[in-house]
Order: sequence, then C-alpha cells, then structure tokens
Amino acid sequence: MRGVPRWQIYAPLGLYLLFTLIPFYWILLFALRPSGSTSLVPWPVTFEHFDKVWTERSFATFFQNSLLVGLASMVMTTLVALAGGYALARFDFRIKRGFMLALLCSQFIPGALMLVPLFEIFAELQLINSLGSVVIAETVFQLPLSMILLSGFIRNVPYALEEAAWVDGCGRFRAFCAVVLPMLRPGLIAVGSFAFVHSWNHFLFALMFLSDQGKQTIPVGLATLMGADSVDLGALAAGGVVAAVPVVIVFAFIQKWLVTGFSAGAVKG
Amino acid sequence: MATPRRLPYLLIAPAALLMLGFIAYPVASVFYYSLRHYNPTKPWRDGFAGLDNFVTAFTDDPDFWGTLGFSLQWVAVEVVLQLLLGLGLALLVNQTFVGRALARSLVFSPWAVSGVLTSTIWLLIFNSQTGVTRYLADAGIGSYGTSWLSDTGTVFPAVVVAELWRGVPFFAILILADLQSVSKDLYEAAEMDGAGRLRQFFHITLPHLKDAIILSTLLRAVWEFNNVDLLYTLTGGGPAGETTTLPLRIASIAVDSHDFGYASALTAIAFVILLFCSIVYLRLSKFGGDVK
Repeated sequence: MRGVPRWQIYAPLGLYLLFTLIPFYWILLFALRPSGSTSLVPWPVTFEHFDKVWTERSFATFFQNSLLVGLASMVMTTLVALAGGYALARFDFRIKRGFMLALLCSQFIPGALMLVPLFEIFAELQLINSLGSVVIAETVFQLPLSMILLSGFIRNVPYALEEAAWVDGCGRFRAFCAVVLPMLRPGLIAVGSFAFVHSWNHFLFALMFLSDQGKQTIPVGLATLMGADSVDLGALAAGGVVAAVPVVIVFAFIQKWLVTGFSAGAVKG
Repeated sequence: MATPRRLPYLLIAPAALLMLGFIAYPVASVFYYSLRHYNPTKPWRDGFAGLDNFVTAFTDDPDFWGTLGFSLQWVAVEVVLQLLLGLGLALLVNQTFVGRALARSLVFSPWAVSGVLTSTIWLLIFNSQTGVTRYLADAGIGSYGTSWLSDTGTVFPAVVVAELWRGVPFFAILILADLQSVSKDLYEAAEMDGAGRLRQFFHITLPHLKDAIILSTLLRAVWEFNNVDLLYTLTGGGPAGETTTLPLRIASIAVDSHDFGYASALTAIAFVILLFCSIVYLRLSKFGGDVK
C-alpha cells in the first residue's frame, strides 16, 4: 500500500500519541510537583513524595518483595516451560494431544475465581504469608502460554542441527545446550520478560495470600494508598512511578523482540 | 539417537504436576463446593446443598443478573473498541515513515502497565480537586468538583477509557505481528489491477488477519471478563454497584461474607458461560477454516 499521504499517517498517530502520553505526563507531574501546587509544569522539581513513599510507606520493602517474586517466577516459568516446550516440539507421545488441549483450556480459567481453593491449598502447605505462594501461583498461570510460545520457537530450530551434534558425539542434553539454546535467545527473552512483567504487575494473588505488611508487593502497596480515606495524591503518583520503573526498563529492552517474538508463529499454535 | 520412551514424560512432568495441583485440583474443588453449604464463619450450616446455591443465584439474588449483565456489557464494549483502535493503530505503524520505530515503542508502551498502575494514573486524572476537570473548569468547560468516577452517569465511559488506554496496544502488537507476513506481491498485483486502498484492505489484509483477530478477540474477551484488577482498585465496583462484574462480586462475597459455597456456585456458572460462549464463537467464526 504505497502512496499514503503523510498527513493521513501523522494526524491520527499524533492524536493517539496524545492519548497515550498525557496520562504518563500526568502521573510524573503529580509525582514531581509540591503538594498543593496546581501548576501544569513540574517546576521546581521536588522529590519529597518519593522520599515519603520509599521510607514512610515502606515502598522500599515492597520493591524488594516484588523484585524477588518477579525474578523467581521468571526463572521457574522459563525452566519448566523450556522442558515442557522441548517435549512438545520434538516428540510424539501418547498424551500429547490431551496435554495440548489442557494447556489451551487453562487459558479460560480465571485466576481470580480460583482464589478460595488456592488459598486453602497454600494454607495447607503453610505458605500463606510467604512469597513462595505468590511465586507458585504466578508461575502456574504463566506456564501454559509460555510453554506454547517456547515450543513454537524450538520447532523453528531445525532438528537436523541437533542430530548433527549427536553424530559428533554429544549427548542429547549437551547438544541441546550447544545448538538449540543459543538460537532460542529471542524466545527465552520474550517468555522470561513476559513472566517477569506479569508477576511484577499482578495484584490479586499478593493481596489474598500475603497479609503481613512486610511481605506485600508494590501493586498491593499502591492499592492501599488509593484506598486511604484521604488519598495523598503526590505519594500515590510517586509510588506509581516507582512501580513503573522496572517495567519500563524491561519494555525498552524487549521492544525489538516484541513483534517478531509473536510473529514467530507461536500465537497461531 | 533413538527416542528414549520416557524422556518426553519426564520433561513435561514438572509442568503437568504444577498444573494438576494448582489448576485442575482447585477447579474440581470449586465444582465440589458449589454443591455444598460452606462458610467458615458459620460451620454449623456446612453440608451438602444440592442445587440450592444455583437456585439462589438464579431466583433469589437481586444482584446476580445485574452483575452478569454488566460483565457482558463491559466485555463487549472493551473488546470491540480495543480491536477497532488496535487494528487502526497497527495499520498506521505498519506504514513506512520517519520516526516509525519511536512511534511504535511509544504507542505500545501502556501494554506493560499493570491494572493497578492504570488505576493510579486515571485516579489522578479523574479526581475532583486537581484532576483534568479542574483545568477544564478553569477554561470554562464544565464545573468545579466534578468527579466522573463517583457519578453513575459518567462512571462507565470513564472506566472504559482507562481500560482502553492499556488494552489497545495488545491488539496493535498482535495484529502488527501478523501484518508482517502478508505477501507484498499480493498488494502489487492488486495495484496493477487498479484496486484502491479500501478494496486492498477488505480483500487482502482483512482475510489474512482473520484467524489472528478471532483468536485475539477471544483471548481478550475471556481476559476482560475475568480480570478484576482495574475495577477493583479504580471504582471498587461502585458507585452503587454500577461497575460490579460477576468475578468482582465473587471476590467480594469470598472476602467479605466468606460464603465460599455460594461464591463457588457463581464461579461454576461463570465457567460454563465462558466455555459455552467460546465454543459458539469459534464455531460461528469458522476459526482456522478457509484461509490458509
């Protein structure tokens, strides 16, 4: 489709960019200007709100907890999905069809509606109020899609390459590490960062399974600030900016893999 | 190298065990509890309930039909608007123009923003003292002290816009990914035949995108139905229960009145509705049918 006049691209795009960016500007504005100011420019800049959420509102602790949960879910999801994805990509086995079907069906299961039985399981396992419960829950609900995605990426690596390595005397595992793993980099980055961002952002499991203030995560901290009787807008905005930082970094990093990652075919099953 | 027979089973074992323990078993227990009276704060009533919980939902719960209706309205409005805007956006950033890479990362960025953070941002925009309405009032539009989130007339458009803000990029990313695989030759051939841009869109682009659109709308519909983060933190289901979806109501029953039996019955109903609608949708849309 050539010959589209430039203004027909820039005009709608500009409008949409305003809709996307003004909310980001708005939160930065509230985070950086002094309380009570109604200026539309955050000048002079103040960091009082950041000081406040970080120390008084324990966002330092929440940040650390969220980081732990995010990284642990990322590692667990990627490892388990890699093993399962390899099996789905490379072998035919009797329960394969049924297993694939279960993976797809699990997409229809609302995590929010599983709260009660999950709570009971974690209570039984003595994991309530431990970050372990949230890590397990996030991993489990991330697994199906991650496995489907990774098996798609593995299928794109020619089997012949692996077989060639076996002929050279490598075992299956060594061949996998030496030949397949390097070629899976985009897939692993995509799946790993989805898992991290997803569990960094997720709210309900942490809300339900962690009641100790010292164990809570950033989204729960934000919700608490919002639920206060008189909301401290400056502190809330600063908390939101803190919540966004790691996600923005990850997003900038995976940007170029985002679209290709999806088009690698996995989305279509 | 011969395929070791047990290897694939060993490889899927961790995933399978996790999913059995933390998805399959909870699902089974939801259906089991839905047939029981089960409330930890009223242990004397515990026991088999038959279909009591379901009868209560359909005939005796004044909020059931209202929350179900709102859920369907919410899902329909969100999915349709997100799809249309996402499709338009994907077509735009698929063109070649100066600054395309930057434009893509900027318009996609809300995709990574959480529901709670979205609530945070839009709470700042909608609040009555220093939100957008204040500056509009300064400029002579509307009146001071207006809060879109606490007025039953404006709360729906307000939450719809907030959810659109972070939801559109999902469709834009998936559709853009699929647009990359349309063969350029097709457009060139169409141009030779004198087909205009509109006809090229309806005869080449749209048929190519069909499966991606069906799948992404379905996944999104299920997700919008189930996800409670945004509404829970932005409106809490209010004002006056105006924005309470079925899952939000289930969560509040479980948290506030601890009536786990009844909450489980509502969950089971939600399941069946989702499953039924998904099957009907896939059948009617002939997913994976003629195109490829």
